[in-house]
Amino acid sequence: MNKLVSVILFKELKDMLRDKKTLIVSLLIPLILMPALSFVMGKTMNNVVSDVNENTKIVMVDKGNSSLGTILRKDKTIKIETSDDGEASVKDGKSLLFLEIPEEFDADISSGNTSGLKIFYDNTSQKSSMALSKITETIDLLSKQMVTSRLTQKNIDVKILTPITITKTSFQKEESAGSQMLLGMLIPIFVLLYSATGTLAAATDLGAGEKERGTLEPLLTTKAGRHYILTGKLFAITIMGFIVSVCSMIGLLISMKIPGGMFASESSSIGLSYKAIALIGVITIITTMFFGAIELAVSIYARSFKEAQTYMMPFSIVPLFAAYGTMFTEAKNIPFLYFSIPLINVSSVVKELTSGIYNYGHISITIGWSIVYAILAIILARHMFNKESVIFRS
Amino acid sequence: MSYINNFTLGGIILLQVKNLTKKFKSFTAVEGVSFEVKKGEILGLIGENGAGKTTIMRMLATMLKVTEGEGEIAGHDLISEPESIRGEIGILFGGEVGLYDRLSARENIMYFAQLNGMSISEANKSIEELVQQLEMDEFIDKRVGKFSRGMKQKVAIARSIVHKPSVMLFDEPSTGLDVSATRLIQDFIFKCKEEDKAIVFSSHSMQEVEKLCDRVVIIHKGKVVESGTISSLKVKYDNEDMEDIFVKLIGGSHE
Repeated sequence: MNKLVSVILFKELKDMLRDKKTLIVSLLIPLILMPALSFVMGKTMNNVVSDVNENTKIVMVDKGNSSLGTILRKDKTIKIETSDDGEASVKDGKSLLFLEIPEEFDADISSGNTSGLKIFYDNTSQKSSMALSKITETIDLLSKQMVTSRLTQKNIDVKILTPITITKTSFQKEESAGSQMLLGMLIPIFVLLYSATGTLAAATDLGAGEKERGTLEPLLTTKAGRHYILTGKLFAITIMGFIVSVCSMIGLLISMKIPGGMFASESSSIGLSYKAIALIGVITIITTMFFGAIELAVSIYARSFKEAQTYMMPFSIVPLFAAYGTMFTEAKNIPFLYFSIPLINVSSVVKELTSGIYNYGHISITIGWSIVYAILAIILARHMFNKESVIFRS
Repeated sequence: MSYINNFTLGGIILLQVKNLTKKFKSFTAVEGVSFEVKKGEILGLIGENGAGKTTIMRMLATMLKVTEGEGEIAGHDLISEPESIRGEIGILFGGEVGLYDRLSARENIMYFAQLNGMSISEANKSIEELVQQLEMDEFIDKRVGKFSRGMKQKVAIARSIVHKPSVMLFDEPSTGLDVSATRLIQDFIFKCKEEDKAIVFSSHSMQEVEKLCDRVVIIHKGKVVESGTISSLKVKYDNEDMEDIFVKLIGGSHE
């Protein structure tokens, strides 16, 4: 590396590393965000589940003291609440659902007829929906028993009801598939978001910050040419951005290992291969450089720190759009065109890699285009750095 | 008016510009400016705000590209050898001192020394000399962020000269400074003169110019309206007050 470039690079890194507050915020947030989120979400999810499983509050009207009512009353995990108005109780959230058993329920059943139950539940509440499936499960079970006994009475084999049986198998272990899908959604977002935002603080400081402190003019009057200054700064920004991205990935890995977290129980069975991690790393570096160069161009155009921050706003939003764009596409059926569109291609390939797909055509097209886009961004930054009306904009 | 006058005879010319012109789109900021500065000479650029002094300074520092005209600084061509020129000039601009708050005074100076092509050992030697000269040993290894204006000024001075330039450019260096900080800068400029550097100094303060400069070039609306030694101008316009002469000159060219 050119000596001037390394002088600039090391000075910028030293300068940034001494800014403790910015450093802590920009490194700690990505590191802690996912584990914290996973922990809190996992905790609340578990709470909801155990809450419903162990303490299902329902309101039941059972005038005929039916067999179903008896079964539910016997179930210790179900708590029967008394209320004059069952529906209101559900609406208020005091109970999870309201079950009405007709008076002649047992009579209807034993005479071989159909009896109708009425259930009122809150479809906006996760707990209420879970309670519904729990109660319907019990009812289904009872219903099956009744069918069996009716058929047995008539000397018919129960098998007549199930002419077809299905055995489902897949290549991912059933319980890890969900996490794999979640990773396929999260990692592309992380790669894009942190490539774009991890570079923000550095780019703002090294462009507009330099202008605002009055250090840009003295810097431009040193023997070091502008392209050296730009290159040194760009490397510094890219390194900072990459460190932030790495922190976010470490955060993600930690969050998968947290007991009781969002990815709990499956965590042991999923994991990215080293090959995938390495390829994602390469793509992240190029993308970080791309964002770093554009942000530096914008930052050098801005008159002040504040102005730069305003102009930088889109950089925290645009990558999210790109990631959302591919969020629900299947990793296996990503349209070929996607691999040429900036950001979308990164999101697509990272999604593939996360799903264990190594399509080297896609990977090389994406890396190729990403390099082209990064070079274009660097040309833009160079153009800005050489433009007198930009440097001395006031 | 010839840009050469009697006082350029004898002494080596270190800085010379001819017909310097700078256009920003349709606006001409500087037009046909010519002057030269010898070794050990202080040339004052006088003009009102917006007259084009800073634009001239920036062209001399190769921060702005020259639209027309030519120049030579310390034997290097202004247009074709900007990097060599930047290594030969030291710059102190007024207003913000422009230091990195999170770096120590030494690191600030070292950064610029290295960017100007010095090796670490050369730079260390030069910094040690400057620490002695400017009495900076108490704070040289402390971070600049908490320095007083006076301390920062010393660091900025040291930074401008650490690479031992032969030509110094001062663009309104005493803007917004108190008496002692102004004195610090003026002493520094005299020191540069003693060391036989060629100095270009811009200001709109007549007292300062009279005190420091050997020769002046009066700029108005981007053009040279007069030049010469202060005494020769006083004789020419038969007036002891430089301010009167200045106002008359630029007033005369108001359209």
